[in-house]
Amino acid sequence: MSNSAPPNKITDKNVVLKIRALVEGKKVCRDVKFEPDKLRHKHSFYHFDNKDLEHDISPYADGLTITIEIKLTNNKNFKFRLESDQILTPFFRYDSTGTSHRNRKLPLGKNDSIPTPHFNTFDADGDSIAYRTEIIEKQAAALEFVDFALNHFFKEGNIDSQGVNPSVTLAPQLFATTTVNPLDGITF
Amino acid sequence: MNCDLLQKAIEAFNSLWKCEKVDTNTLRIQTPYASINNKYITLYIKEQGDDLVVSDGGYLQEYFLSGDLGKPNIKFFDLIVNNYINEFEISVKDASPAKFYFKKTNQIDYLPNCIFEMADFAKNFLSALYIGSDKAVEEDLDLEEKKFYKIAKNYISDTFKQESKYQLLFNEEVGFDGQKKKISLLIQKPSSLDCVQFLSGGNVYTYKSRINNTKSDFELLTTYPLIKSKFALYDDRAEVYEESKLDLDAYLELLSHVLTEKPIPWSKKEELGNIFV
Repeated sequence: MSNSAPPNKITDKNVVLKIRALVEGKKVCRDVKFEPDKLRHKHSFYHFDNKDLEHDISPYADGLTITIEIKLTNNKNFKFRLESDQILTPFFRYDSTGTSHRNRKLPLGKNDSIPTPHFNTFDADGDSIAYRTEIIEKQAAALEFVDFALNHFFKEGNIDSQGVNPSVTLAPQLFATTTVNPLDGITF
Repeated sequence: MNCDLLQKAIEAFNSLWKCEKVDTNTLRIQTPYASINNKYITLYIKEQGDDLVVSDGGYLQEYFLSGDLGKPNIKFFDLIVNNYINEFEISVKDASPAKFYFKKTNQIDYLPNCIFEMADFAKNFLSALYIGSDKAVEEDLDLEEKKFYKIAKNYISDTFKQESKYQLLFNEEVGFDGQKKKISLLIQKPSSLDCVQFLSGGNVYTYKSRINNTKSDFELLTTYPLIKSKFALYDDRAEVYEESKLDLDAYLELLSHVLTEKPIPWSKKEELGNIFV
């Protein structure tokens, strides 16, 4: 699995082509029930088991998986990632909350700031970009639920779930955790 | 051309400020500052009694631990972050496993200062995670140090190992449990240990922090009963030493206060011989 930070720009044209093909190509996920796996770090995010994807766009789709993480203290804070052994960085991501992304190529202050929830990927020029879909604009409340957001991730990422809705089995620790104010109980 | 042109920039900057209420006494704001890896900086403002507290809400530490923006070279990262913490007098609230960086004021006129400094700090924190994680940078920074370590080790092994009565241990840890320090060379004598630290760096900052770390490590080791003598062998063949000789010599002078002898330059490495007899 890849571990390096997403670069701001991928200069290798071949890698950009691979990424676009992986994102846009049809993929199949046969097992779409995500089970709690382990704490990625003792501090915050709960990791769910990776699911392998099948594809017809080999050879560079080897080891293509979906990764899910949910924050321990806030189960409305989660991330989905598409990763491949062949690409050094997660190249298609969904962040439910967090900081806005700056799309550098746009004029400052003119829609260059993309708030969460948003998708992150690399465009045809290899630039790291974030974007929001119509569903994100219109169904903010529903997207707070991880299963609904995961279904949207599958659609946007062209992943076929074989007629079964993808879902996440929350670990017990994650049930009661909906604090949206990170400063709850903190005295400075 | 006139100054109206600036109006366009001011409007663009201003349009980036955003604010939402997360709780009766807490606001979440977005600032017009973005890190080098395109994260617009978000801050929290909390009303606490008479104080206004501007904090990062804990996400800086989360990014640091998760490695999502990169796993930085720690020396490099600490250098940047600690400088900002000291200069802007930023406080840290440790609520393990979370960690909050904040500034507070009880005068509304100083709220902008707190926001300005916290935003600049957060921006540089995230940028440092990204910049310092660049593999190329990391390898470049450490390469000189590794190279010098190898050269020094080979020289000492070849020249002194035979004639030395004592066992030589390279790159071993020593000290009390929980605060062990890695030492380039330990010389195991019948009733004591002598330490030799090798000093070099790919640039003046890593070289300096290597010297500083050695100084504080040696200071901490003074309470460790086995250690009698402490030496340093520094790399005066490195390009960076030539370029920044005055600067580095000042740091080496400070280091010499905790040493048994003045730091020994590579060009006079024969002087090391005295240590082994």
